[in-house]
Amino acid sequence: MRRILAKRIFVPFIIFLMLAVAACGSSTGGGGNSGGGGNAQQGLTGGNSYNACPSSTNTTAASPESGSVTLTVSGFSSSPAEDALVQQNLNKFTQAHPNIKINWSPIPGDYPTKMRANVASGTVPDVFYLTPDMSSEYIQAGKVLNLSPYMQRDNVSPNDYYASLLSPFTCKSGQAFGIPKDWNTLGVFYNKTLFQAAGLSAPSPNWTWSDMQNDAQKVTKNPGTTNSVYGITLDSSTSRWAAFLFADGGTVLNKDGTQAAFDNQAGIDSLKFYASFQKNNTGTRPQNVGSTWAGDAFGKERAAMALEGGWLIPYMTQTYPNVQYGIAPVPVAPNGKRADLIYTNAWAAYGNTKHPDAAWQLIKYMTGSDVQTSQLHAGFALPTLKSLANDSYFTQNPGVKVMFDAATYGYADYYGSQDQAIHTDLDNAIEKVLLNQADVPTALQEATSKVNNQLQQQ
Amino acid sequence: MATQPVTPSVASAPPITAEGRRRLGRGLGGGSKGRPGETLAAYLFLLPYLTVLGVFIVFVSLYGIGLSLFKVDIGFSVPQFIGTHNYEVIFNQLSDFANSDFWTSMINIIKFVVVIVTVQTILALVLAVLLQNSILKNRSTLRGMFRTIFYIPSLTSSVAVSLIFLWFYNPNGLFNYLLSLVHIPGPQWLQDPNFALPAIMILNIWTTSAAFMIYFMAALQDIPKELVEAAEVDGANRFQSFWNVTVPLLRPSIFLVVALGTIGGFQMFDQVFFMTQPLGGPLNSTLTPMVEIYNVAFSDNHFGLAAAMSVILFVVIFIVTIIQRRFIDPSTSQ
Repeated sequence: MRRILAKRIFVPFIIFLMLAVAACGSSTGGGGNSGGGGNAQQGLTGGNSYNACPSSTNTTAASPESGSVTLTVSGFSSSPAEDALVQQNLNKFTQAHPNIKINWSPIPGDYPTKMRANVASGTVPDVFYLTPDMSSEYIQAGKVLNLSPYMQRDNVSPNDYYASLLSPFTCKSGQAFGIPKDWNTLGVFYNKTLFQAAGLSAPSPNWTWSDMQNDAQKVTKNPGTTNSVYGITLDSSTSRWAAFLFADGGTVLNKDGTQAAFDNQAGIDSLKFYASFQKNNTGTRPQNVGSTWAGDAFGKERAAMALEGGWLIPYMTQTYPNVQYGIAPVPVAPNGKRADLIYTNAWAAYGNTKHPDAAWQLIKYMTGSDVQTSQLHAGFALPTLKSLANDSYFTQNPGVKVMFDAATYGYADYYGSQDQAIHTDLDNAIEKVLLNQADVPTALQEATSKVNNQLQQQ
Repeated sequence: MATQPVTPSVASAPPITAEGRRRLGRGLGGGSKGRPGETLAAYLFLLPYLTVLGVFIVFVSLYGIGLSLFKVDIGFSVPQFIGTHNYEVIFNQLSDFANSDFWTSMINIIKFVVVIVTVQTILALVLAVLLQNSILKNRSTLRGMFRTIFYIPSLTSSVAVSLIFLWFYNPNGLFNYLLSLVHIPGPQWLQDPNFALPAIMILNIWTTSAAFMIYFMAALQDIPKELVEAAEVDGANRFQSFWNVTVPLLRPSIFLVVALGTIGGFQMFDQVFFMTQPLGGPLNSTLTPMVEIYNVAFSDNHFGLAAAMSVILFVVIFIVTIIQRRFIDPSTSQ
């Protein structure tokens, strides 16, 4: 997961460790593309047409085992603090279930690759983190347990969770194979001091694309010099641009996930908007001001705005504690629509686990309100349960609330089995435009042919 | 193919290897002449190495070739025999050359190899000759010191070197600071598609030149003094004697250095892996075949396709090396 994030964004990994503090620091995020599928035999959710269902899977829930059971549990850890919280919650679970012992062994480094090796050797943990870019492959091959029968048995309704968060872990006919453990999304971080100095008021909740361009224009100072301050800093990243693409009514893939669908007016307009800041000298790539990623350029006050996620909050606290900033929602597109990108990971159980019921009990606990509340209060990530929308934490942290609201209008930053390749191809298209090596229609055309090649190859 | 140099006095570097090989040849082929026990002993001594070679090189290579004929995603589905389909996929991409990551990586690596092999061979030769014949000639302590300093980069782990150069290449790093002293605005090295590959070339030349310098030094020591003296007597100046006597006698070493440099260059992976984000970026400008093979295998989970790419890479390296042998060292290619 870490590697993917680092691949997507220009973040050398030292900086990346900071970035990943946000717990669910996954740039290959969650659901939202719930189309098609529909008439499921036993589907609980709307289904996700990007994920094929396994040819055979469990259709009933296993009954609880008597006697003591040991579960191996794996995931990735973004920071020691986050790891401690996970351990604490796992301990609470074992206290409540004395017959279940937990063997927590987080995987350092490249999580998906290590898990792939585990699958090849047949030594998969009983319960583990499922990232969206793993989900398509794992679900189709029957490597993860079908949780739907368990959810039905224990009255865990999929409607307790935001649909866009659950959908990356469901297949076409709607069975759920993972339950989102936490999530993150984007907000516009703005520098209050720089905004005031330029005579600007804080962005209104309904601000638009052109408001954003105007603000960027007014706050920009000395562009092109060594003490330049730009309006906004943007990475060449699909995991940023797609927020504008979705808002403009566009989409990355067609409904059944078989073809690229971004080479149209929505794609062109949104990418032109994304590149307009650089073109008008009111925005910059973070590299141009000597930063490795947008959050750093924002912290150094070389840019007054940055489109980043919750991970920027602890980074600012630790590295740039004196910068006064606020968080505004992603601006509204000319058509009046707003969109955001959602990044999430899930808890899932191994398809061939010897202790399916115990595994389910753990998943149910770790995605339940106790653990979700503890994660929110620790400031690591947003909770996946709708029931926590009015938690007291949000009144104390209105900026976090702004981002949390994106659950209702956000789209998963996840595009099926070729997710990684699609991200890379689009990142390159954006990079070409920002570096002036191609105009917008050409870049999108090239990316379309590359993405379609990938989709045909699979 | 005969591996023994034509002129016995000019051993191909390192001389010990050539010598060892000669003895070995006698031991193995000398069944009729020597005692049978000698042959057995030779094989016995070779056994540990042959086992390692067989298991980790020969078996793995053949397994890889076999793998290239399958659709494999280790662990997720049953491997499926698909004949030459993987190769067809790769060669079909030739029609859409610019959009093919594999062929882009091939172009990148050819540029890379041409530059680094040329520069590092010349640099290694110059360093070796300087250490051998300059004012350091009669000061062995000083010479040893310089030799050690030159050689240290080759001993350092490439991960450590990559991390250090990552800081050097930072837009606010050492290189750009030095450039700013002479009022040249430094590029954004690793973030600029035009400078990323040259940046990695520089790093590579810096680390490997000295290793090859040692090869040349060994070969230089084997050049008979009489030949150089004879050239001097005939009125050749230093450059003439270097160009017309030393260089021709170094041919086997030059071939060795060029061939090893080429093979190593084509397989370049670690520097790109540690220094570029996204891998092979920006805009695929530093994507090498090895990185692409890694991506295809471990990110896309197409192990068969990746194996096919490895086979193609092997064939390319093989052909290039043969061609080099013909051109540089014609005497050995009979």
